[in-house]
Amino acid sequence: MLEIRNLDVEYRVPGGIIKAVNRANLDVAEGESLGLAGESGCGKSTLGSAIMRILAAEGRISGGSINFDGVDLLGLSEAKMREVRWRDISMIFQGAMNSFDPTMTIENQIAEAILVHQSSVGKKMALERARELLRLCEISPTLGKRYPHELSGGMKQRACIAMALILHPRMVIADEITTALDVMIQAQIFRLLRKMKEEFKLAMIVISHDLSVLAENCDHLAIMYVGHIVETGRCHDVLHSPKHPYVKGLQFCIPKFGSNCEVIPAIKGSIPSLLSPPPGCPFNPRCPIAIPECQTVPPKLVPIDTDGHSVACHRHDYEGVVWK
Amino acid sequence: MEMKDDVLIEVKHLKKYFLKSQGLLSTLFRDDKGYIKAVDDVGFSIRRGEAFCVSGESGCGKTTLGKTILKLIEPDEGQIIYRGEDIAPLEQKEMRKWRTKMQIIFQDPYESLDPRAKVYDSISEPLIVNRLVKSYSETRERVMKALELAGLVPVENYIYKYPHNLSGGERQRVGIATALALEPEFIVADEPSSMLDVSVQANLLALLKRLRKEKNLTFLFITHDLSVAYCFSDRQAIMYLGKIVEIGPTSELAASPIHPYTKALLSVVPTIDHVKDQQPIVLRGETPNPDNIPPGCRFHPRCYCKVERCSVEEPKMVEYTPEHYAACWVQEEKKVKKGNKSCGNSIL
Repeated sequence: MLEIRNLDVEYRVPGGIIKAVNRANLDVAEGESLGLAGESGCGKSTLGSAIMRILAAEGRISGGSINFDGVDLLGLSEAKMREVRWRDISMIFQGAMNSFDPTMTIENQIAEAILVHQSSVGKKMALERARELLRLCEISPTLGKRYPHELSGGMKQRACIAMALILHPRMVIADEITTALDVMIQAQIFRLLRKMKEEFKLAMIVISHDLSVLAENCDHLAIMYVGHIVETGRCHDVLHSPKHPYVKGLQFCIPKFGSNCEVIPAIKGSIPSLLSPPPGCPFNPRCPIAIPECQTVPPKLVPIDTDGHSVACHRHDYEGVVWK
Repeated sequence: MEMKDDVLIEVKHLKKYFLKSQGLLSTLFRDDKGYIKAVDDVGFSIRRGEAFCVSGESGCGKTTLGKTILKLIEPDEGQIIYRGEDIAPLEQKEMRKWRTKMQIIFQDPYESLDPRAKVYDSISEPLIVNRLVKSYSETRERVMKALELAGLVPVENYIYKYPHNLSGGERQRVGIATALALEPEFIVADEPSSMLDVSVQANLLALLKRLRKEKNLTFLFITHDLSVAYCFSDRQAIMYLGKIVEIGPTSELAASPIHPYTKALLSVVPTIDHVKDQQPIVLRGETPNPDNIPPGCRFHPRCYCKVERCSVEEPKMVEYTPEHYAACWVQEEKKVKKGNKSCGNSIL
């Protein structure tokens, strides 16, 4: 359903141009959920915004294509794109729960959004549909009559999910939606999101820095590092038989129950600056198994089996121990 | 909770109530309800060299607890016995002698450093204020040593930098170096890794673990992340609405939790392992407000195995296995009857 090919996104910043997304390739099938993971600054949110074409003023898509249902989103006029947004693809942001209008009740805001997008719907009908959606999102009718400041973070995030679903989109992009919330609320929100996915046959892209959240809630996974997708495939394959040294290292970094945590092996060094990324593979300065080729030739994302498990690493077939 | 052997710090019946901000009328005619019970009768002790972890959801009072123990917030009631002396009633002036021994590492490395102070100044200031150094060369030596301990090497690259030139992980290391320069024996670490990326977090936790061993440091580690707690601490307490509901050796608490709240919390921690041995217990509703604490067991409105007694009488801490305590009526009754503790495993 969604096909991203060789997508490049750049930002103009003081001091030059940075490539936030570098030749990204992604596929999301109907009703499937893809987790997009990576550390801060890896370009995962940028990629999400690029699909919606809502990049910040400094950003621009400098190459590649995004196909949604056979339509090239990058070729659409802004007016046409506005129709795609929310109707076909909608997005829930991390801070979205704080972007409600403080002077309107939750149900009125959702009803208004329906009125704006669908001129054929009457006011009463819109309000009814808003209430129905809120009920689906487990917000009681009394809470729907409240103002945003009277709701907790978790409730507001539910209202955001309801808002994203008003026009029955076929794909939802959820960008770090539970990052500011407690683990119990996070569990509630994701249970709701999974329910909605079944109910509306949604395709989803879930963006998060937390691999374990994605592991529990997604079918497929793509891991980004400094603007590059370094590994992608089914969740189980990527997490249980990772091929990229970065992903192998990340696994050790995640604190786990039951493991012997006496020493936590960790990836040394820090993420390189996007202004002057290292030549060749972006991970080569931190990689313990880098070879001279890694410093000169950027690796391409290549499939390593027939299930869609792909890796961008010259040494993906390295069998030995990468991290000690 | 008796634990006499080599206890460094013991907290007994500690209370911290904050006055609720309210209008003029209710201030004039204040009744007893105008308090937020952030820390409500908390007690535990930490051995020398031990890492003790306090966890719970936001608003449970864990940060207030950490700050109150260091007397950065004045406690309302209770005792804080540090090396045999009750420091709770001490004036700030009298606290001076303990200040260098007890340090804190803050959560937010972006806000806890003075943006106009170079790394060198941030670390040397407490040394000078506390008159721990006599000369410039001595100051410099101790700053360098602290930076090295915190893993900021080569030291020369860091001492004259401003915080805005450092990454989040580096800033947090400066925070650690500032604490270490005073050669403390007790450190309160308040969510030191929660703002950091996972690979940076792993490095930081490894550093803290190493320092703890090398310097025989005692830690009160505050975190909302139960898996971080698991990897760092020896013993752990779970807080709910200002009160500790369960306390015990970390590995035992994770393997066989007693309190229904602990069970639920543990069951929703996401893991990258696909097979979970337990269905998640997703509690309904949100953490209630600490300004309106329910009567009886404060967890009972959200509890999935409550009995009548729970809404009337507050449960006491009971020892189940050595050093493993919990406050729950249901479990207590089960313990008396048959000694099994299976509440919640099959519900939901």
